[in-house]
Amino acid sequence: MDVLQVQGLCKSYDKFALRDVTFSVPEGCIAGFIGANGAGKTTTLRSVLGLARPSAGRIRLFGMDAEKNEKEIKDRIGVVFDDGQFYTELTLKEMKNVLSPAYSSWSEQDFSRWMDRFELSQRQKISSLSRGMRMKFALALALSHKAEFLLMDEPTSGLDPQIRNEFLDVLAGYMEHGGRGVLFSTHITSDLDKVADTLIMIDRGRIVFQEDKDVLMESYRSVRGDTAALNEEIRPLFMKITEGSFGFTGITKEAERVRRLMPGALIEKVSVEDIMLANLGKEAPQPVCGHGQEEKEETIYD
Amino acid sequence: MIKSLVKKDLLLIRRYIWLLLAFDIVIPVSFSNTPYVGPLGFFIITSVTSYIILITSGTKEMQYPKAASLLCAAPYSRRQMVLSKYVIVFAAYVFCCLVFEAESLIWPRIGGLSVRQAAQGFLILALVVGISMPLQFRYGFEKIRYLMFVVYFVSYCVLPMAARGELGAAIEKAARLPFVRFIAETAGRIAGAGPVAAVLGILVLSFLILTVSVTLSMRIYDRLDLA
Repeated sequence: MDVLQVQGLCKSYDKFALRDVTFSVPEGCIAGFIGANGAGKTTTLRSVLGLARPSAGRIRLFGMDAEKNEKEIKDRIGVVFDDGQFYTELTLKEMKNVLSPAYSSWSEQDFSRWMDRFELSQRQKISSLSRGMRMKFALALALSHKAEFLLMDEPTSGLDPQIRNEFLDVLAGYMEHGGRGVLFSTHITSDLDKVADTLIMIDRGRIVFQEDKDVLMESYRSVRGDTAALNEEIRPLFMKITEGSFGFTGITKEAERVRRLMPGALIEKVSVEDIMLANLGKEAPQPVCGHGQEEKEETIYD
Repeated sequence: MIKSLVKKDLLLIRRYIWLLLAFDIVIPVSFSNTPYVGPLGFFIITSVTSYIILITSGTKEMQYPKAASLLCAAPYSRRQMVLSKYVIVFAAYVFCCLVFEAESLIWPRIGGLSVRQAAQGFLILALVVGISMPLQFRYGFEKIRYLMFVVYFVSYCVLPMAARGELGAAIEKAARLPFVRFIAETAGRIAGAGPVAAVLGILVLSFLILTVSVTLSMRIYDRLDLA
């Protein structure tokens, strides 16, 4: 069963539009939502949460229509935004007291446990917290009402590696309970190398792919070799080529053919970042919704 | 749940609450030896208190635009968010009534507040809040705060006239347009009715204005893209 289904989501702004965004997050899955800055990750998540009103499309959470069952759905979701989501002049306890009455399953015990684990004091003012501590507090709030789905927008940006690791451990622990899901947008793809099950990539408002991470990692290969060997037959096999004075590095989905044609090339596994960079500007052609937003340029998806 | 949202607004403006309380106590007493003794003191504390609450709470929301998104991402509905803003202003009105009444018991020179005068205050507040709140949700607090200032204080300048019974005459003088004539006639009918009927009329009119305003604000806020 899918925890989240987004179908044909469209949202237009003056200089940007989400176009027919379609993806899903299955139960028991951590989905990494990747894309460059300004690709449409935040707009998509805000639309899912009903904070931005889509011009077209359908959003379903837990099998229910998001608009018609807003309250019930939000009661079952935990949300972590990037920084700046709190009234910083309140203390942690006051902020908690603002949010907690809205949730039917709020657990004071869980909240205290998370606060202890993150070494946060409820009497502290939010303005006195570092960015990492604020993110921990956001996580404590999101995890204290038996949320079945976590929706996080760039939660790890600007955090040091230690806090990011701690955060990823919490996510892994959260998923151990089963029947839950996470949608985690980020442009720091190394985090997804560690925890994601599925990757969804968006670029310039369009979904480029949604794929199982392991399948993706097996489909792509990084190739390093001599630039002189790059002839007209070989070049089209690469999605992206970076040439330097010591040779080239390229990303391909046709590793076997490259191996045959370039026996001396070094072929290695890729990271999520390699896959993302290789796919930038290569969004899959999809029907355009809205009006006057069409791009004349034809895009090819390998 | 609206209670929590109102509490949140109170927490955000808490540093001004003591100042407002002091103001609400001092102003009626300071007017007790002047010709403005009586309802004028009440009207002033009501207008200033509600204005300061609206202004400070609006400034705070402007300061933390993403916080409203966090609340709306929680099971708080946008309608509750809107309603809480009205509730806090009218809670301030009730507070002012209580402070003024308590003061008039301690210092009888202040002059008490009749039910009719309290209702008039409520009507003016309903008008001012009823107009400014949908504008605030539509255009944002930043753009309309000066307009709010003008609307607020111009409206409350009319109140002393109402208290002295000059309002009807002033309206009649200006009554050239049918709409203005309609308001004047409605005001005249209410003023001409018996005391209980007049108070009821004022309250019904106030609630009608507020119902329209709340509905409008909810519709506007419901369609907004939040930060």
